[in-house]
Amino acid sequence: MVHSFKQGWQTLKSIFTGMGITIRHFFGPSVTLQYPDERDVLPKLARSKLFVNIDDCIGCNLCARACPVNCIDIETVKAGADVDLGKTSNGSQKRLWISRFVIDMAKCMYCDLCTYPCPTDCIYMVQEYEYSDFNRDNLVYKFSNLTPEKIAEVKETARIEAEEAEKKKAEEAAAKAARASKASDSRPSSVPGAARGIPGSAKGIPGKAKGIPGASKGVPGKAQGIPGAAKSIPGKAKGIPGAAKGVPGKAKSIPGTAKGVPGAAKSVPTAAKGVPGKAKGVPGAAKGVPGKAKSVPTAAKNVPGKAKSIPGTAKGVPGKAKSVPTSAKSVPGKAKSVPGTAKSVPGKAKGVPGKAKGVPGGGAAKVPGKSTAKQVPGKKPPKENKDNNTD
Amino acid sequence: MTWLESLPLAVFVMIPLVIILIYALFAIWMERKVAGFIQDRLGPMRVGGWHGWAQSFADLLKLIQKEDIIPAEASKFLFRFAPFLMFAASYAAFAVIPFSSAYMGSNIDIGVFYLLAITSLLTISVIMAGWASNNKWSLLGAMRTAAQMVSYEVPTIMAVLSVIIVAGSLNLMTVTEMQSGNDTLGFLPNWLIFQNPFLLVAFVIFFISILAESHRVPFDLPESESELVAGFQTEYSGMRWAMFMLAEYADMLLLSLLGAVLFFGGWNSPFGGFMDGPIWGFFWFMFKGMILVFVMMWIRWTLPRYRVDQLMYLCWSILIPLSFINFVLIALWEMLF
Amino acid sequence: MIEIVQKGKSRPEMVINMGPQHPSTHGVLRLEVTLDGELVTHVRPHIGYLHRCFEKYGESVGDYGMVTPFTDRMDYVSAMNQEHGYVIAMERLLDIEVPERVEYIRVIMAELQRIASHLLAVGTFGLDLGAFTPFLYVFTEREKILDIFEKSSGARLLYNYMCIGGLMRDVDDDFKKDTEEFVRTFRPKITELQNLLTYNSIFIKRTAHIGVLPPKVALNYAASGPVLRGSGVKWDLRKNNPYSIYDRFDFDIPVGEGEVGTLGDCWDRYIVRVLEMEESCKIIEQALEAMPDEGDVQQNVPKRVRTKPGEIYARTETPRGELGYYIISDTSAKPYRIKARAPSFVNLSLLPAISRGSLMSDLVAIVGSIDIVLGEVDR
Ligand code: SF4
Ligand code: SF4
Repeated sequence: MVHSFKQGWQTLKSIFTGMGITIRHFFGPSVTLQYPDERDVLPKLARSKLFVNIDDCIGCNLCARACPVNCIDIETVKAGADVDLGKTSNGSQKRLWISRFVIDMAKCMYCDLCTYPCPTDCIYMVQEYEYSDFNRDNLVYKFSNLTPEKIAEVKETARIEAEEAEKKKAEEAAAKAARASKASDSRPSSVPGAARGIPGSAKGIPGKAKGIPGASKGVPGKAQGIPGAAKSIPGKAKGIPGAAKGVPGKAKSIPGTAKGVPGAAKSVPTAAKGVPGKAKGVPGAAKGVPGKAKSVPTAAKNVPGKAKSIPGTAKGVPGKAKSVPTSAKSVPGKAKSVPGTAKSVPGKAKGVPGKAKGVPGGGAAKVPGKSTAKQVPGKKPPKENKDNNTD
Repeated sequence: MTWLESLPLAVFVMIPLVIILIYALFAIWMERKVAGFIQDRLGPMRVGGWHGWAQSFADLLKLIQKEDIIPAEASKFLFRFAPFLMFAASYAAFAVIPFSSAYMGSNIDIGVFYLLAITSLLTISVIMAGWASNNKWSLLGAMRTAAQMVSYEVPTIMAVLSVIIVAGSLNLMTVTEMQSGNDTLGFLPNWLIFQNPFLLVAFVIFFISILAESHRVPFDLPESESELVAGFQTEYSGMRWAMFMLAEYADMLLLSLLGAVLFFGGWNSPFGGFMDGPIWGFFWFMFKGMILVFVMMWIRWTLPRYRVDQLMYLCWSILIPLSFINFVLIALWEMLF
Repeated sequence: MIEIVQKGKSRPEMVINMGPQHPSTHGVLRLEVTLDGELVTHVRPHIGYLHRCFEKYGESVGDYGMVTPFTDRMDYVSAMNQEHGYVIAMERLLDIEVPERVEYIRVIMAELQRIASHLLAVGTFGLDLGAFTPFLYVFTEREKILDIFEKSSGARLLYNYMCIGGLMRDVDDDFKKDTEEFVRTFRPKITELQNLLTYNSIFIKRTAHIGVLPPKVALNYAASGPVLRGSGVKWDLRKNNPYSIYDRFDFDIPVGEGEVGTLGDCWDRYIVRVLEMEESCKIIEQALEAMPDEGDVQQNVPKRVRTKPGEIYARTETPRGELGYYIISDTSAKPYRIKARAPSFVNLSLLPAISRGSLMSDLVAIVGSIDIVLGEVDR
């Protein structure tokens, strides 16, 4: 009895203590900040939004590489030897046009890792924090200050310059290649380094590995795609893509067809286009999907100047492989066919041992000359450049 | 009677409704403000200008616009009916509350009895809502509520009865009238709470019980948001939910006003004849009611909540025996003095 | 209508899903609760709603330094402690000596974070029991800590402040002053919290004798942190296996004593957290005193992390318990494998064992007292 009274008293006492505390707060000051009217002063280090002072950026790509979530995308174009892009505020010479510098703030996690490596300290966090938006696309911030026309222009210049250099190299390479192919039939005649327009990546299939990247070879003056004969050796499969090279004047690149796809592999290069003067055959990407392989390269395009014809990547995923190379751009890490050095490593490569049989870009092996590259004289650099426009 | 003739009667009946509506809008705003201030915040500040006074109106507008969702598997009729029943029960009880010396809905002699009887309908509507929702959380909430309200009716009634012994009437107007004057100990008003030391205990019991009856913290188990999501209201939205809210606040006011009548002299001015009269009477009455409402809010923003078995323990093992003992003591006191 | 499962001849039972969207499951935890009336007969936690592949990310991002922001995101209410554990592991792997000043700053940051995390834990615990107001009071205090963090690191929640071998940047100029000021004003707030919540008799009624975790069971389940200490086991890595510079400080390890109920009940777990805040204040004060004023926090930061093949397991005491990182390195720039031993995950596994036979409302209290962070449970 006494105990329960004591307990009751304890209860009431603790309740009243609590009520005493709350009533003191009731009359006490509030900590509320009336947000849109009053604002907190942010510390100067506050990480709220990334900003790039593009005038100082030398396009070194360090920030993009430091980002754990890959939300920075930079594309640069080499400036001509005679163009002076000026210096950054700390005195480094700029050598690259920044044709594209976008940061996707929707992906950014504000870790600040990108700001440390910048040699010119031109990427940094600013204190603006009110940029929420209803549309994700609006959170992709573009920093390049080049106009689309300017970008096209600098790209064209760079292309011409590159082609010039390319030509020289190509001639040398072709000569070498010719020698090499004579030396051994079974070896691909592509000469790494010069390999341009390299048909899909070879994939080795252990046990049956056959990466037969077609090698279109243009012999100057008579360019003809000659299906190469890369061989992948099981266990060590190495497809050696041939080097498609167009020689101005007569370029012909023969998009390879994928072969050795049990069932129905088909590579339908729809638009291999040579660029006048330097035709490059871009072989469609072959996809060997056992039973279903389909490679629909829609727009393999050589981009003059940067000549990179990236043959779609062939991926033989048993049952599902699909390589749809839409734009000829090889994205490192994805592009599995690296001109001149396509390697498929069975087991890790994209070839799935035992079943993947897609032989990307097998040169003319089967349908030589069926879909030939077209020379489109005067054709401007491919469309993808448009995406690079920045504002 | 033509409709024209019945018009004055309709207006007469509508008066409490207007009071309830205005009060509910005010009380919801006040609850937020009290919560805000207690928690070192400001509460609503934007709608309407000064301290967000129009916040409740804005919310009401929002609730009216909301889609009326009835769960597919719900028992449709009961689901629709429950909120109205609940509000009707609260509203009907206001009939016997003497708002001022000049206004009382129905001056009947069994006022207190009627009031306690009609508020029991609340229990039914809560169970109805919980069951009809076809949701396990709602059902759990409804069961808790039913148990809680039925249990706490006992101490409430015992506390009220203690007052009735002293007052000697079930008519709330009479109870109020007998509390006028300022003679207790020479200066205190003649309110019943000062009349008898045991009535003080009765008031404590009464207050705890009305906290439970109107599901306020620490007895807000029916809608304990951290356990049962929202109890029996889980599936409700829009205006139906607003009806529950309205009924809940009306219930709170009703019980506070009942407390004001029974213990604090109803519409009597605390200063004797000063500031007296029907209008002042109404003011004082509401003022006293609101003070109790404020205390309820204050408690709500201070305490954690009881568990369902502890709640029952408190009721059956502590409050009910205590209220019976107290009842006897009050009766003895009345016989002796 | 509502389905009531009749199992065999036993009493009818009802299965309800508490969560993943439930106010008191502290995130996206789903509890499959079997109820007999309001009595819990069985609980099954279902996790994985917040899985973000921490370990896989750790193995695939560019290099070791890029893993730190992901550790932040494991237990997002005590990000500093998570980073601390990771950098300590990496420094041991790489044999890096960390400058004195960095050690002190790290310890202060970690202890501030511990206070912030415990504040959140006790606040939400109160909230689970229906006490809304203490939650906001402790949040006010937590804000102050976050302000200190923001001044030095630039962020309020996910700091990415510590890096392998040092700190990303030096602390703010006002750091010392702010922290001292905070500790000074914070102590009275603990007292206030004790009066308002801890010793409130309703609160005690709701937590004492509830969810009792006997020391032996706690050890068997490998519980750690306040959950283990709440059961009276004096085990704290800062004392038992000192890392960083914790051996230099003088502080106690509060343990549960069954003061108002049974040893190892919810209240004990709660009070351990409250008392630990006080101990953290002590550590902060001592550290502030001893901290060297000058020093380059970046001086021992390797330009590039180059690892030899090897492995390391390092454990630290976070507010939730023992956080371990197991890292296997090879010669590449990325970790070959990172595994995190998350204390929340381990502690959560206790739930079915200690909640059987309790009431529905107690289950909420028990989940609150274990103080899980789903980000860490699911990683
Ligand atoms: S802040 Fe972090 S996530 Fe954001 S862009 Fe920089 S490196 Fe990437
Ligand atoms: S690190 Fe700096 S200079 Fe280099 S690309 Fe990024 S922003 Fe430009």
